[in-house]
Amino acid sequence: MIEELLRKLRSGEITPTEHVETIIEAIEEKDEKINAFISTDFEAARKRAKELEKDEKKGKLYGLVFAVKDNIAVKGFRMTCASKMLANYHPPYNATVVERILREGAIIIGKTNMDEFACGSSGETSAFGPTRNPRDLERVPGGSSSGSAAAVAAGLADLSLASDTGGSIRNPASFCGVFGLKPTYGLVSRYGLADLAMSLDVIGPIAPDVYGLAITLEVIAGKDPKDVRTSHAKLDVYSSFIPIEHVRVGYSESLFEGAENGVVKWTKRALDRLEKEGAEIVEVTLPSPWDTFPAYYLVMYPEFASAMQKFDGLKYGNVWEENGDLYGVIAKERGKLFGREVKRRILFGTLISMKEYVGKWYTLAKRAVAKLRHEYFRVFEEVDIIVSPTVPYLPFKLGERINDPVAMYMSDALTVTANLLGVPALNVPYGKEGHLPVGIQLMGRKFEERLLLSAAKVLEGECPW
Amino acid sequence: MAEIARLALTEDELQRFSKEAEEIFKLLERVKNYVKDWEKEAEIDETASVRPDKTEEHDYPILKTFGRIKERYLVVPRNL
Repeated sequence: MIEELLRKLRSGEITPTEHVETIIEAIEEKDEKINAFISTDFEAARKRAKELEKDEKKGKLYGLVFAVKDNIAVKGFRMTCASKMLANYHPPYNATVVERILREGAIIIGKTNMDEFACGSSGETSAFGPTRNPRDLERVPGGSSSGSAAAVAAGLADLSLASDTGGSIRNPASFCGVFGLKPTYGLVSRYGLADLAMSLDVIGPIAPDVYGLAITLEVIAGKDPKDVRTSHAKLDVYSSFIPIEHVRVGYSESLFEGAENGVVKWTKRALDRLEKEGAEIVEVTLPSPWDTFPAYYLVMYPEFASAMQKFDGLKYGNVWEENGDLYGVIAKERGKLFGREVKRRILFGTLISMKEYVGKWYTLAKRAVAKLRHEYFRVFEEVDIIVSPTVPYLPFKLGERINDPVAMYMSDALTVTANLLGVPALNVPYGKEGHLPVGIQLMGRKFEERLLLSAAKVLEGECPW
Repeated sequence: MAEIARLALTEDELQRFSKEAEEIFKLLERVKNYVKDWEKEAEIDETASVRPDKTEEHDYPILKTFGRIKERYLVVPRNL
C-alpha cells in the first residue's frame, strides 16, 4: 500500500498535488463525523506539494501525507495537546521528528486530536470533543493518539506520528485496525514533544501497513543532540525485512487472563501463523499483568504532575481572566483550563511525591519495575519475541467507561510493560470480531525493531483491513 | 472551593476525586503483592526526571513560584 503509493509518486504516475487533493477531499467528506483533526492547513499542504514537484531530490517519504499528533511541535500549526490550556499556543520551532520527515519529502496536512495531554485510553478526554472510531462511529478509537490512528484508518492521511507513554500508539492502532509501533526508548528524539512522563515517552509511527511503519522509523530514528536520552545505537534498514524461520516466539497464558474470548482466539491464530512460517513457539512464564500494570501509574503520576507545573495559565498563549493574588490566580486558571483526567493525575502525582510518602509509592514502583525487568529479560534470553493481545477487549462504546477511571486504566494492562522496560512493541491488526478489529502485540528486545517488523510482515498478509 | 496542587477544585470535584482515590489506590496496592517476595533493592534511576525523595527547599524565587510544589502549599483530602 505505502510502498506502491511511493512508487507511483516517485515515477510521476501521481503528482504530490493530485495526491494531496485526494486526501483533502477525504478529510472534507469524513472528518466532520470522526473528529480526527484539531487543526488542518490545506493551503500550506498544497503549497508544499508544489514545492516538492520542483525539487529534484525525491526523499524517502516523497509526497506522502502525514498527520501529526497535537503534542508534537510543528511550526505554522498551533499545538494544543487537546487542552484549553494550550488552545492558543503556536510553537516557534519544529520537533526533531518533524524536521526529519520534512527533509525526506513529507507533507503535513494537520494536527490530530488526542486525549488531553495524552491522559486517556479512549480519545474521549480531548477539550475539542471526542474522536470517533472510523470502523464504528458509536465506539471509541482508543487513545491517547486517537486522531492519529483514526486518520490513518479512515484514509485521511497516509501515515501519522504519535507518542506512546503507556500504550498510546498501540491501543488506538488496535481499536482502529491499523499498525502502530512504539520504538525502543531513546531510539527516536523527543525534542518538541510535550511530555507526559519523561522516563517513558517515545514518538513512533502509525501506518496502514508494515512498510509504512518501517520507512517512517528509518527516517525519524537516530541520535539527536537536542535530546540527551537518544541512543548512539547503530540503526537498521528497517524496511529490509528478514526471514523469521527459527525465530523463537514466546507466549504466556498469564497475558490472556481477563481478555475477551475473541481477542484470545485471534492471538492464538497469529501464533499458529508464525509457526507455519517457521518460527518456534515457546510457552513461557510471566507475571500476571493485572498485578504489575499499576506500577506504571505510580511512575507516571508524579512525573506527569511535575511536567504540568510549567502550565500556570499565563505562559503559552493564554491570558488570565482572573484577578487576585498570584498563587490564587494560578490555581483558578489551572482549575478552569485543565480537564478532569489531567486534574486527577496532577492530584495523585502530587500526593505520591509528597515528603511524607518518601520511600513508599515511588520506591515501590521502582522495585516493581526492577522485578519486572528481571523476569522479562530472563524470558528474552529464551525467546526473541513475546506475543500477546494489545488490549484485552474490543473497542467499547463512547461514554461507557469515561466515568470509571479504574476500568479505563485497565485498557493499558498489556501495553505499559514495554514502556516500563524501554523495549519496542507494535500492534498488528490481525483479526475481526464482527465488524470490530482485534490487535495483536509483538514485543521484542531493545533495538530489535527490525525483527519485530519482519514478524509483523508475516502476519500482514492476513490482516482484514 | 479548595486549592490543592495549585488547582482550584470545587466541592463536587473534591468529593469525586476523594472517592476515586480509594479505588485507584486500592488498584495501586496490587504492586505491593507483586514485590512482596522480591528481596533485591530498588533500582532507582538517578537520571529519571522525577526524584521525589529529594524535596529540599530552594532559595531561588523563580523555583518557588513556578517550580515544583512545596509541601507547605499542599492540602490533602482527609480520607486520602
